[in-house]
Amino acid sequence: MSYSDILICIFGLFCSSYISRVLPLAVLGRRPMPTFLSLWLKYVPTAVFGALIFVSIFGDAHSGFKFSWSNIEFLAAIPVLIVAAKTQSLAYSIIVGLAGYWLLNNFY
Amino acid sequence: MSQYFDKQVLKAVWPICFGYIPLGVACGILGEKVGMDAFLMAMMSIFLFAGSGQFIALAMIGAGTAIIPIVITVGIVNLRHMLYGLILNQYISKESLLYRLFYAQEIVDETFAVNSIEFQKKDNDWNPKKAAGLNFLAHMSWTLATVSGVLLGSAVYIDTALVSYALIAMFIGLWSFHFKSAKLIGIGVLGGGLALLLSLWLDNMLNVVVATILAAIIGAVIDNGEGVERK
Repeated sequence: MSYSDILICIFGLFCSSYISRVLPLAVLGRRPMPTFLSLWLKYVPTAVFGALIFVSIFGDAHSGFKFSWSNIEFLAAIPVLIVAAKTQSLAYSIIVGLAGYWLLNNFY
Repeated sequence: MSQYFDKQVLKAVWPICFGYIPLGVACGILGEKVGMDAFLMAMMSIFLFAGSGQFIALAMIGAGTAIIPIVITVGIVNLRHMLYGLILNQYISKESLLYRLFYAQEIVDETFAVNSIEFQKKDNDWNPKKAAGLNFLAHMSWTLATVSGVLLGSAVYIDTALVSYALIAMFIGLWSFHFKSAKLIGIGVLGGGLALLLSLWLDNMLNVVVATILAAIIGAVIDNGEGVERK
């Protein structure tokens, strides 16, 4: 991506992110949200992180799925998942992830 | 000025700033790897201001993804900020439009978490001005940390694969915040499975976008159905 493409991309990112930030504060005010929309919004974060995690670990059909025991991204994710579920801490998750990935990459 | 930045504000904001140093530096290092300079990184941190959003955008820029899929994917990831705005409304809806337009840009996981706790506390004189001061300091420290990461990344060698794995670990950490019920976890797993399945037909991360929308609709439909049964 060229320098000017990155600047355009940043502007696009600002627009697509600012919409969800500003809608409730500037437009909705104290009016209640439609029920189905608020139910849907409740499930968006868990769905998006689930999707991102699966795709970053197992790849995609285009470049070939990585379903195997030699998949280091998958193996290193197991201790991270356990620690994250117990501590719900970003810092611990990242430390365990980096340590596990480094160890598997060098010794497995 | 002292209305915006007092001892109480500093006490509330320091854990955020402290946490932003490693995360922001890592984000800047990744940015440097994919061709960002200090100016671009500062622009991104000021105008996008989203930890996971910036990591995803940078990883996608590095993978050679087109602009539109990057903008849509990050927009979906940041949809959760809408929930935060809905909750914050009760505290700041009486402020001027200009205040609210600026406040909107400062909504991230961390500022939302701390401000909403401070607003809720009883016998606490937390107010919109202090919240704005906290937001400003958090945003500044994130911007400075990411720019430092770019400068550091160009000075020392850091393994790209390791930095990319920090991103996956962060996704898992962020996902774990939603481990509040079996249904929430299940919808996450469903989103993951759908994303893999949809990659047969969709590429450029659009599989992630469509999987997210579908999985969340299924979650909402299940909730809606249960609500009707109770009536």
